[in-house]
Amino acid sequence: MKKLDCVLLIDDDEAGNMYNKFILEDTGIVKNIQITTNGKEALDYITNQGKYIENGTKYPKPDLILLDINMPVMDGFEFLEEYHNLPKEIKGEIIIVMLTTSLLPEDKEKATSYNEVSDFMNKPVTKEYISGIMSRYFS
Amino acid sequence: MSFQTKDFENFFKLSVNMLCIAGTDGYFRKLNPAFSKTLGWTDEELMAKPFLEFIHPDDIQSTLDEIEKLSKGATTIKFENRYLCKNGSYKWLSWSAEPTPDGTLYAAAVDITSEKENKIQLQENEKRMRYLYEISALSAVEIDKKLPQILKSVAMLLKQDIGIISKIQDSNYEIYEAYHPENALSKNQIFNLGNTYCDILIKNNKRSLAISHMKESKFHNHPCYNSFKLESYIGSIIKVNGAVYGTLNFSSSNPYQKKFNKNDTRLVQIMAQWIGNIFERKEKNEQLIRSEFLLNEAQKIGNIGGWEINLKTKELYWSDEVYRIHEVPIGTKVVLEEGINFYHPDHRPIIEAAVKESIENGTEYDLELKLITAKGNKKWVRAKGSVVKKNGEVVGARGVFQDIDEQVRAKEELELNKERLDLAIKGSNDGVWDWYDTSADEEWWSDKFYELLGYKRGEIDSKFSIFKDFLLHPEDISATLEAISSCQGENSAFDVEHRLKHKNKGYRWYRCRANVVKDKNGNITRMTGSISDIDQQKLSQKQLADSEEKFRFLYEESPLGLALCEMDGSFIDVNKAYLDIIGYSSLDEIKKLSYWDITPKEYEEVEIEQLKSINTLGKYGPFEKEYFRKDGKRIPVLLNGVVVNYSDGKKRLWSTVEDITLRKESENKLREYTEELKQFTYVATHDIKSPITNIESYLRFLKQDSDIKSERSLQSLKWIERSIEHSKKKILELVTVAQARDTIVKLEAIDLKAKINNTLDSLSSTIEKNKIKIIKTISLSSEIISSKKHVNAILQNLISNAIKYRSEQETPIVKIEIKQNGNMIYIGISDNGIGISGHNKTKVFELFKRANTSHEGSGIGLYIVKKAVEKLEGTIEVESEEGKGSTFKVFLKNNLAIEKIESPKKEKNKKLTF
Repeated sequence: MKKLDCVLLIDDDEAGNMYNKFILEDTGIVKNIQITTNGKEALDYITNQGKYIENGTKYPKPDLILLDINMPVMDGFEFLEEYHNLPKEIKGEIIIVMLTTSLLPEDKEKATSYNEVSDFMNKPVTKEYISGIMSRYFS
Repeated sequence: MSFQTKDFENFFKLSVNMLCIAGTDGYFRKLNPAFSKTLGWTDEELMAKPFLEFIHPDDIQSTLDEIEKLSKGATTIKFENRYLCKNGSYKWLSWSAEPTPDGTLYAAAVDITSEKENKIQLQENEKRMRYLYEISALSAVEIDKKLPQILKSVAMLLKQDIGIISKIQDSNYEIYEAYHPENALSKNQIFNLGNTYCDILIKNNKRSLAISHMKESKFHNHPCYNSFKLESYIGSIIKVNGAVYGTLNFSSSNPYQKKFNKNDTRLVQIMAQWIGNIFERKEKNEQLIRSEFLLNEAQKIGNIGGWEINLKTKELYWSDEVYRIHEVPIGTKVVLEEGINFYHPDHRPIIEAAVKESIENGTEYDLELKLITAKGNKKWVRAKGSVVKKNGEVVGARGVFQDIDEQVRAKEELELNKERLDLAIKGSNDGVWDWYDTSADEEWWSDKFYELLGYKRGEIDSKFSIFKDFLLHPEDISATLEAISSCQGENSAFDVEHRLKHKNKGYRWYRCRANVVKDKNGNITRMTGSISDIDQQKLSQKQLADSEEKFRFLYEESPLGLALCEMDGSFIDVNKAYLDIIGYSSLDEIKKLSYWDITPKEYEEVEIEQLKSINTLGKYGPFEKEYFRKDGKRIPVLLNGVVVNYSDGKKRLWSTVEDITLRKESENKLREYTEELKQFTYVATHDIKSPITNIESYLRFLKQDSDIKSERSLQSLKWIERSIEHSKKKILELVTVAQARDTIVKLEAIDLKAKINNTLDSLSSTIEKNKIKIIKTISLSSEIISSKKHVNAILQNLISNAIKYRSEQETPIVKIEIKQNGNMIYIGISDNGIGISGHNKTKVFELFKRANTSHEGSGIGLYIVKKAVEKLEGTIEVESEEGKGSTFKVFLKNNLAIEKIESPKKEKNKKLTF
């Protein structure tokens, strides 16, 4: 199975991020997992990708983003608006999956109305789901 | 020297003085012959009765007093009393008497009758002279005032009841002035001369006549005697300017005992002569005044002339004007006959007779005659003439001559107008009245006048006093009288509204208008006017005023702002509430503004929309906007208006304006509150759900951990999992409820049959497991138009409830019935399940209220159903019996009529998300 260079987690919930990190690690599909806690941080990461050096290594460009909706500073939908307006060479072809605890069908509707959003998933994420994503978008 | 008894006897008999002896019994004892000679009685007759019986009744008391004195020893000297004679008359006797101690009276009397009468006559003559003097001194002006008193005095003097000054013309005997003790005669009263004694004077050409006792006179067959039974009469002719004017006469129903004498006749003659003189003077005065007047008039109008004829020379003098009237060259010689020939042949005999009579009898004539002028024009003239006397002889005649053609024509015209007026009066709906002499009480009222008051002519008198005191409402009297008196002077308009007492209908309102005729001092002399019944009008006026008042009250006191504007937005009137809303204090202030001055600019667009509505529908609103208050602040208002067509042909706009500040505030507060509540719900659920999700997530790792082996740990993990499930469910319920409130109604076509099948499919495992019998009765012609989500919620909850609360004893049956009736959709879901107890029926639709605890339920299902039904503007009912089952009946609108199906915008509302 192909290994992804980088998965970007965008969620203000640390417990959630950690759980998602565990699942991704368990699946073994990714080399690098980056964590941001709101849309703003995530945008910064994306626009400055490759510039950040940690241990002499460039932060890699993410292949997959797991995006939460409800976050402080900049929520998921706001992030999507901004992301939409980014130059194409920066955006590249990132698969964005929205993760949410929302029970409202409207939220799902809204989320899927963005072309940038590939899928919508109610938390918690499972290994099986990630496998499904991998086979759908990265095989 | 001594006298013998015989000597005394001789003296006694021979004495011319009356001598007597009377006894204490009051009888004469002895009388000398002078007694019977003087009184006419025989001695026997005189001695047969007490002497007091012969004494004049008026003198009895004084006689008794005198006898009393005598009895006390006093001597009587020259005591006078009257004694009855045998012929019925009385004689005055003057007595001397001596009393004797035994009471016998010795008395002597002298007959003083003639002296006494002379004395009375003297007194009367004195009186007569005084009256005559008074009459002679009278001026022509005051004679009319003084005559009544003089007549009375003279009548009393002559012992007559009645005194009259008459005016005699032909056979007319007219009372000029009269005195009657019972006022039975009045001025201007007319008798037939033949029925008066004065007739005798005139017929016999006598100057005077005096009859003391008519019955015994030769005139006892006179009609006057037969009619009036006047026994005495004394009268004399009054002549004025040598001609008989009338008579002065006095009469009485009793015979004049004393008989009229020469003096009486002379008195009446002289009086009559003087009265004649005064009348002459008076007439001359009046003539003078009249001629002066005529002269003035002549100068004024110019078509009056004078003429004069000298009978001796037959010269006829015409003034220039007379020539002009005759259309004869001025100065042409005209003789009397020629003058007369100018008259119209029909009228010639009249003037001839008048002139002849005038010359012969000295009478005056005043005629209106037709004249044919020298040029052949016909015209009416007034010819007036009287004779000129010189030393009692007629020497000529003179008079005035007047062209009255225009006057006559005007009079004819007037007659014609009067006729027309009469016709108009008869035809008019107004009653007509004429107070032709405001100094008198009499008025004239038209038939309609009576009719308007419910009377017939003759039932009430047409008098001002009747009008004022009987017909006029007491409260209206003073105003009406004021209106009349205000017509004096400059103002001539009399127009009042007052109440009059209708014969049957009580007081009614009438309008009374009049023309006022005034003398030169501005005093009203005549009023002519009309009345019309305005009761109905008044009533409606009153009703109008009442409703106006009510309207005013509502208008002024309304808490709703009300404004009347011209169509261009300028203010005409606003009420207090309106002023309060926009913070102005007076209408004047706001009148300077236009509607647009108080409307913020951004509302222009909305206003234009409303204006369109005004123009097409004649109304606008309700719509919300803001006004600028006077202090510059904005105030939210709700406007509503309607165009009203006014009687002046103009359209105006009535608007109601409601200050909705409070409503807006509470609306905003409610919105904020709802928003907060919503946010709280979402945030709460999110913030609770997230950690639960995390717990659930990490629990999976623990469950996969094979190192956990102890039974207790494994049990704990199981209970943690269950608690998580429970929490998640609760959170889901909360969200569902919040969602139910906010779900937008999106109308679209729904295949209800398919929906039901879908619902049943989703419940199929339960249905199959419990062998539930489903009976569907669906009669639908087509798809319905409604909101999918809401219909889903209704079906899902009702059907699942019917299954959930199924019967355990018998085969569970769920009946689903769908019916369509026009625009109504009926959805009936019945079961034969456990049912709902009575007191719970009303609670089942409430949030978190569960009717049954034996079954697992959230208490939100029926709440959500109810909310969905409400959102769709439908109704829901429940019929249920505990242990037998329930039926839920839902009635929904089929929104077929709605063409435009609203599609909700995709809202970017982060608050709706987790």
